[in-house]
This record gives sequence, structure tokens and C-alpha cells, in this order.
Amino acid sequence: MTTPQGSYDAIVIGAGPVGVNIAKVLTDRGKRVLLLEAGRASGLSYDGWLSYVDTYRSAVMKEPNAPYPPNPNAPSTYAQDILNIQHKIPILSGYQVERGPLSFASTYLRSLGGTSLHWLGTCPRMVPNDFRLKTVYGVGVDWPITYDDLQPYYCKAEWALGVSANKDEQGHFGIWFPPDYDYPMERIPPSYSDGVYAQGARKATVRFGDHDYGMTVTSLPQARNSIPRKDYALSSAYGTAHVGERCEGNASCIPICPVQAKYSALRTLGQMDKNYYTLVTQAVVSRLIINENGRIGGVEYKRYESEGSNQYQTGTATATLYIVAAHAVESAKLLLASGAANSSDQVGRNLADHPFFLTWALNPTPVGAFRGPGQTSEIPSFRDGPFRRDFAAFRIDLGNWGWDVATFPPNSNVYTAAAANTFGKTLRRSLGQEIPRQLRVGYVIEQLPEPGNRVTISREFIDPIGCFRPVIHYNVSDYTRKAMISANQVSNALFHAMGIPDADIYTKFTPDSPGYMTYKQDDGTVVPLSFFGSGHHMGTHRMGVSRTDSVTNRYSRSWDHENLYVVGCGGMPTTGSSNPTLTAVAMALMAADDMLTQLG
Amino acid sequence: MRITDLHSLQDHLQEALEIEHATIPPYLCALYSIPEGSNREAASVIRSVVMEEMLHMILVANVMNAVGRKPVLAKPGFIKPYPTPLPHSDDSFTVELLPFSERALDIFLKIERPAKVGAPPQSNRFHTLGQFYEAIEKALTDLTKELGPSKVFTGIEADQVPAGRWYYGGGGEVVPVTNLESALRALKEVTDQGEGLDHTIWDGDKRQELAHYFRFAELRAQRCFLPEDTEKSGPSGPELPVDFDAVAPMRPNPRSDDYRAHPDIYRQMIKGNRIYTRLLQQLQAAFTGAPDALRDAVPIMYEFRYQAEALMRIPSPLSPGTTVGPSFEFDQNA
Repeated sequence: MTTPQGSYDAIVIGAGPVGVNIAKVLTDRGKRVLLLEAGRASGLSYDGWLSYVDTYRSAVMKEPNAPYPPNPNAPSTYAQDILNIQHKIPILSGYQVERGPLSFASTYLRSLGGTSLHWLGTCPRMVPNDFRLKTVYGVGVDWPITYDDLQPYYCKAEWALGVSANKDEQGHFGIWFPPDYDYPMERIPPSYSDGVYAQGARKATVRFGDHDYGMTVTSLPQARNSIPRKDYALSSAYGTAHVGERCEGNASCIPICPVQAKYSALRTLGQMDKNYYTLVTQAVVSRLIINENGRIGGVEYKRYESEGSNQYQTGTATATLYIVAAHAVESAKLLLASGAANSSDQVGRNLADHPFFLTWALNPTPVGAFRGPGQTSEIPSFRDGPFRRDFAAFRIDLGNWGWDVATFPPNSNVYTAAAANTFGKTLRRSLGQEIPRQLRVGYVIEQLPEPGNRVTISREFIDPIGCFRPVIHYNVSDYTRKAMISANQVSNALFHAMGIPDADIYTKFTPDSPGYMTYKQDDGTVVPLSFFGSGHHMGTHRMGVSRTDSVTNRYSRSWDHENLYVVGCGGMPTTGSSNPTLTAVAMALMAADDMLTQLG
Repeated sequence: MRITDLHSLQDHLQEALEIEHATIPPYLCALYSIPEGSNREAASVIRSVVMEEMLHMILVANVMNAVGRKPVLAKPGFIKPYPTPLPHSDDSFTVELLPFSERALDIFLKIERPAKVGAPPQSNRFHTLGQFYEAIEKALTDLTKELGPSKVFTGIEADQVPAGRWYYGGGGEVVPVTNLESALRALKEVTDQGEGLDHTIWDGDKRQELAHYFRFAELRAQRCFLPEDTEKSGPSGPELPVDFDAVAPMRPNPRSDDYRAHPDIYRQMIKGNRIYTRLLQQLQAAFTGAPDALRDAVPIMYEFRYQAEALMRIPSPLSPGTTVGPSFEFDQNA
């Protein structure tokens, strides 16, 4: 069993994509790093990885954490624990305690590699106006950094994560790239259905306020292997050679890529020089020790010997710098439990997700549903615009997996057919006529920072080894609900332009839908809505320009403790509509430069 | 017999393409007979070898194009019916289509066996592949000296399969061939990967990978090589467990004709043959002026795999306790 030896230059808490990428930068420069991971040492052999693939294949619920067996000593929430909160708040069945009023419908994974084991890998940059929402549109807050400040780190993050895209297609709303830069790999080829959407999108328009908006379909940057550019060295799956050097279209990116063609933090871990880091798994950091001078003086962690027993030993470890990269919820929890970094009272607050609003329909002709990565193209047309004074921005993901989580096909189709006593050739024909035509459009919607959306802790809710369970308070404001109304208008315009009659649009929100809620329009009518989680936990330790209303400065360094960094999606002051991992890794690489300066 | 003119060199390269291809059906039969989840190490070894045999086909095709001959794959006769000796070999052994088994491994070892130190080049009726390639390499060198490079390397660069683009998922790398140096480098990659670099157990890859012969030797001995092991010492490392019972019991050397009396099975076999034939046609397109056609060869390979695995599961009415398996026959109607 590995144990910490002596004092380190830096202790990184959490071996997910953010923590591991910081550790990589530090160890590349010869710094000694201790990586503490709460979860098990998942995926350190390819055989072990394949055992997760087996678990996934035999799982009845193919939800994001399905391949990864429950670990009582470093619990994660499983989707089935939090679905349909409406009738029973608070929800106590899962690991995260839900206080409502709405369900925080997203989960994360506490295991080596973090949630990058089950993410989809979508890597769009944020648009410049996302960083100055208050100045430009009078809502939310501004970031302490601009797009231009982060731009060089976006480039580094795209190479660190191995993102496939063509930069000439990605210049949305002022996003720019250095002339000599390109993504490390060519774009993932668009799916057939992307082309079907594109034909309709060309003809579709909607009007919001005084503006007409058109729609275009473009390829989506993704952290999965494709054809390499220049000197980019493709990586194989961890612990084996020549596996996963291209995306194979296994179509199970969430919850697991069987060949690891999709990036996970394991890949970066495999590229690190073993002489410079110590990895300790099954070590749950329970407290940061604060010295009298305000510096962090050590971490206290609970090391459990096995997942089958709640026996653990408490240890402490010390370093010059402490880097909390444990996930937006877990990092906030640790800071709250330690009474650290919270002079602004912002720790745990402004929790946001990208509420994921879905519409679905049947295309007149087959679109080849269920092939390839979850999504290969998007409609970026509503990532920015004057409407943001009035309602939230959204990114439109064009799904490749049929109706996907909207109805859980193809099982749901089989159930329905079986219930109607259909079998044999008739059953096969009816499935063959419907499933290949399924279209599902997902709207990834911005949420503003709201102090009441927050993570708290309470002595009432403790896990088996005596650590706090997160208590989540969550709602979706009218700014975001109104965007769902607009998204539905966009959806209708798009489907109609594709030649789909209303009768073949199946979108519906009934009180038994997960994430059911309503919106009261200006004329008083109440419209039903529903949303899913995107798994994008953000905002719980935001960066800012002032210590009075933010947890860290622009380098993710705590205002209160100069040798403490709090990094990850929790640092984002606003969320835009871009999937946050790429931005979080870019912010982390920016923070790592500051760490190197401090370490000298 | 020496290769003395360009035409004969080109013929021999076409033969090399046929030989490289002839190794693929037996390897694929062994691979697809292993159900997902069992014998993972063995499956991974066979897969790694078969990937590199595909690389060898690309490398040989590149050399052919460079010396001005269009590779031919999609024609009757390109695939010899199994069981068959390796084409143009000394017929010292017979290659069969078998499920993963000790007998199959013995054949694989013969296919990949290293040439003895000092063994002469053999342009025909070769004993080892290394000797056959040595004859080709010698001819390339001699003819370039005799006729001048411009008379030998008459191909156009656009026909070459480029490095780093379409070949992946296996060891080694494509070498685009434009001159004698690159031609020899391409052929050296073929022989190093098969029988080992300079009479060692390694294939010369920077990742320190065993040559094919020694990868199969590990499976046969159910034991791993240690870095200091040699061909003579054999593997002396940790055990490598193999379970020959956890394998689809494919009836040896499947042929569609054998199932004419069983139309349901016959139809499935024809379907497999047509997919395989389409794959050869696609490869031929890629090797004759349209290298980017390799992209669309990949989905056909997957399509074939699914069909082959399905055939592996169909019980054969011809021998109780066996299953049908893919027959790799060229189909004019594909």
C-alpha cells in the first residue's frame, strides 16, 4: 500500500481531469506531487477496465455510473436515486441529499479519473461574451478574466485532453484561435443525421424580440481520438498498446468507452513521470488544517483499506501548496468542513448545472439512429445574442442515439410493442420502422449564479467513514425556464423545416417526467416543462475580482489562504452554455502557472 | 532463382501481397472463435498480429505502386481455398482455418518462423517469408543499380498510402515509398514485425514489442518471455493462462459448398463471403489511386466481423458439436 513520504511541493486532492492535469504540469517541471484520490484505483489495468465494460453490459439501468460499482466509503450518486423528485423532498436515498425545491438531476463519479470516466467528451470553448455577462447584458456577473486571457490555456487544454475539431468551423461569436494553432486531431466525421438536420436548419428561422435568428449546423469539438495532426502523439488505452487509437463508434461514450478512444484523466496519469508523484487512492480528505498565520498547514485524510469495510486510518500529509480539485460539490464540502476559504460566504453557493431540455420527433425517413458518439454536431446559433438580456443562452446538441434519455429506447419501444401484444415479424417490422427515424435535440441551457442554489453540510448526514454527505438546494429560475420556452420554439421551427409534421413531434412534459416543472407566461398561462441534468456541476467556489464576493482570485488561488488553490468547474462565475470540462482544465492550467511561480 | 527484371519483381510483389493476405483468414478465424470476455490476452495477441498483417499488405502495396504495378486483390484466385500451403512457398506445411487451439498456434508459428542465420534468399518455393523478402530486396537493390532509380520507381506519389492517417490500432507505421531507401524500409518493417529484428525476439518497434513468432510462442507455451530471453531459451517469464475450451468449436476449413443442402446456413455463408469480397474491392480501390478509400474499408471490416462471429455461433449440421464459421471465398456476385 502506497503511503505519503515526507513533505511535497504540492498535494492535489482529487485525481480527475483537473487535478491530474495540474499534477502533470507540476511534475513536468520537476515538482514533487502527492495525489490523493477518494475513490478506488479504477482502470489502472486494461483488464480492470474491461471488467467495468462487463458490468455496464449486464446493467439493467445504463446510467452514467452503471459500470462503476458502488463504493460505500467514497459514495457517488446513481441516477435512479434522484429521478422524479417532485413528490418526495427531501430525497435521502442517494448519496447526495436533495433539499429541492427541484432535483439537482446530475451525478458525478468518485473514482480514479473522476467523472472523466463517464463524460461524453464534448469540448466547446466558451464565447467571449460569456466572460462579461453583466457588462454586456446586465445579468449575472463578469469573470475576473476575459476570453483573451484564457485563450492560450484553451489551446493547451485542447492538446492536453486530445480534442478533435477543425478550427475554421469553431469561430462562433468571437471565439478566435492563434494563426499557427490547430486542434491536435481532425474533426470527428459528422453523422448522417447531422446532415439531415443541416438541410432543415438552413431554412429555419425564429424571431425573439426585434431579431430574427437563423440556424447553422457545425461540427462539435470532442475529446476523442481521430486522425492526428502534425506531431500529436495518439494515446492507447491505459495499460495496453494500440487500443482506441480512433473512435470506433461503439456508441456507449456515456457511461464507458470500451477502448478508451475518449479521453479520461487516466491518459494524463499514464503520461506522468513516476519519479515525481505519489498516488494514494482510497484516501478521502476530510479536513484542511489551517495554521495560525492563515496558511494551510496540512491535510487530514481517511484511508480505508477495503470497500467492504468501514475501517479506516486517519493520516496527515503536508506540502508547500494545497490544491483542492475534488469536483465542484466535493471541493465545496471539504472547504465547508474545514472552515476554509469562506470569508466571502460564497463557498458552496451559486451551484449551477446546464439544465438539459429535450425535444424529440420522428423523421420522415431513417436517420441511422444509435450509431457513433453521442453527438457529433451542434447548432451554435443561440450561444450568444441580444436575447440574453431576457432569457438564457443555449447550445443545441444534435443527438445520435435516438430518443436517448427522453424515453430510453430501444427498450421502451419493445415494452410498448410487447404491451400491445406485438411479436415476431410484426414486432421486428414495427421497431425497424420507428427506431431508425428517431431524432432527439438537446438544449444545454445557461443558469445564472444564484446564492440560494448551494451545497451545504450537516451533522445529520454522514457517510460510513464519517465524512459529510452533500446537501443540495436547487432551483431553476425564470431566466432559464423562459429559455426552455424559446428552445421549444426553435425546436418546432427546426422540425417543421425538416418536413416533420406536428403529429410526429413527440415532445411532452407530464408530471411524471423527471425534472418536471412549469413556467407562468406573461399572459398568465402555465406551461409544463421538464429538464434533465447535464452533469455539469459549476459555481461553488467562484473566482472573482474581489475577496468580498468570490472564493478565489483569477488564478484559482484562495483569497484567504495564499498557499491554497481551489480549481475546477466550481470556479466558474457564470456558466455560458459550453460543456465546462475544457474551460475548467484551461483555468487549471492558468492556475498551474501561478503555482509554479509560487514554488519558484 | 534470381529475380532479374522489373516485370518479374512486380510479379513477386503481387505474390507477396497474396502471401500476406493468406495469413489473415486463419488469424481471423482464431480471433473470432474467442467469445468476448474469455482468453483476453490471447485475443489481444492475435488481434495485434492480424492488424500488423494488414499493415504489411499496405506496405507491399506501396512498394508495388512505387515500382509501377497496380496491386490486384479483387479477383478469383487471389484467395486460395483453405487448407492450402502458403502461396509460392516450399509447401512444407498447410495453412488451415481453425478455431483458437494448439493446432492453430502450431500453424501460426510455422507461418511466422524466423529464417535461420545465413539462410539464402528464395524468390520461389521459399522456406521462410524472410528469405522470400530477402530475394525481393536484393532484386530492388540490383535493379535500381542496373537501370537507375528513375526506371524502377516510376509510380506516382499520390497513389501511396500516407503515414499516420488510415492505419492505426496496431504496431508499426505505414511507409510511403518513393525510392529504394523507403522501399527497403517498408519491407524491413514487414520482416522485422514477423520474425524479429536481427535474429532477436523483438520487432524493432519503439514500444518494445515481440515479433509475431514470439507472441505466438508465448501463447503456445502459456508463458511470457522475459526481456533477456532468446529464441533458443524460449519464454521463461510468468505464466500466461490460456483456456482452449472457452472457444467456439468451429468446424475446420469451412466451405459454403458443404452447406448447399442447408439453405439457411448457406445463405449466411454467402453473406459473409460477399462482405469479404466487398472488403477486397474496397482495398483494391484504396491501393489503385484512391488511398482515402481506406476510411470506408473500416466499417466493412466491422461488418465482416459481426457476420463471422454470427457464423461462429451457428451449430454445424455436418459434425455434431461444431459450429459453421466464415469461409473467405471470393464471390463474383458481391
